[in-house]
Amino acid sequence: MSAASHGATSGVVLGLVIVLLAQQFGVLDLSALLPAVEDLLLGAILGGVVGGLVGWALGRRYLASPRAA
Amino acid sequence: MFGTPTAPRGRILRTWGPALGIVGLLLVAAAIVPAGATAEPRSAVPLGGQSVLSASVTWNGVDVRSYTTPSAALGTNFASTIDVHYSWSASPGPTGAPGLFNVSDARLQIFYFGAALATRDVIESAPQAASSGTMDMTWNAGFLEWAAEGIYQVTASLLATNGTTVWAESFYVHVAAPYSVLAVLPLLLLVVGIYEVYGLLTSGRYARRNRPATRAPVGSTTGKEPGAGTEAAPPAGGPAPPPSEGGEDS
Repeated sequence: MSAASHGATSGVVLGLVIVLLAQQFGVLDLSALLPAVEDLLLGAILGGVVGGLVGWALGRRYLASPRAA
Repeated sequence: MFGTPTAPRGRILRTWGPALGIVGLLLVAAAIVPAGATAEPRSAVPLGGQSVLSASVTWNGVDVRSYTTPSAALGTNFASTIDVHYSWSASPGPTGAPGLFNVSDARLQIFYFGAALATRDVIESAPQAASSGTMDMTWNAGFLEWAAEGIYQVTASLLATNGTTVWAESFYVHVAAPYSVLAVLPLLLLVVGIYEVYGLLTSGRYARRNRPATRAPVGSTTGKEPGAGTEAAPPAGGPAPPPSEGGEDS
């Protein structure tokens, strides 16, 4: 797996965790099933995209560093 | 070494395991939701001809009618017993006399992901048709005190002897955990979140070279200079990079 896919995987989990934590801290309401699933899906997708980009950027930086040369 | 066409099973589990675990938990939670628990709460339902039953509920002495949106949730905690008081009455029917209702059950439910996280009933042992009445419920949240916090939808309802809901009202409570964060679910989520942030910040280590690496056979004496056209070797004593898979990009 590449750095981008590793970042995307972590981002998906982070997106889910952030949505669930937002409910626990009183920011989101996850009482009804469908809105809650929509919120989770949105968090997972956004987290995956952002995580993939972060992983890709970190991978580029890692390859440019002397340690990876 | 390099050239392994597929990733090791351990790494696949390590990277996709948490995501699959959470998705699995959600699927299991959705599967065990009782069919009736996902039904939308109903508002006041007329019975007995034109007569309509109206009711009010207090939560520890506070009327819940002002807390019907998540942004206006009623602050509470599960540490102590909660007193819920139901008071209902029937409006006058077509003849001018108040209708009669046979209320036998006062129910309180807390919803999470559409499922009833907790249900509490107070059942009238000998219900009789009446035009008004009151019911009292004392509710101890039990393990929920240490399990979760946050905003939850609560539905208070009154049921007739035939099991139909004659009145229901939904409101929201904002549950505070003991010492603000001492609940299992937020602590678990925080630990998972920190682990994944670490995983995200270290994902750059899995970057691979764009061009495929070639390596001289072991013991080759072709005169090629060491290192020319070979895969980058980690510095002595330094951390070993993840095994290359012959792919590309970062």
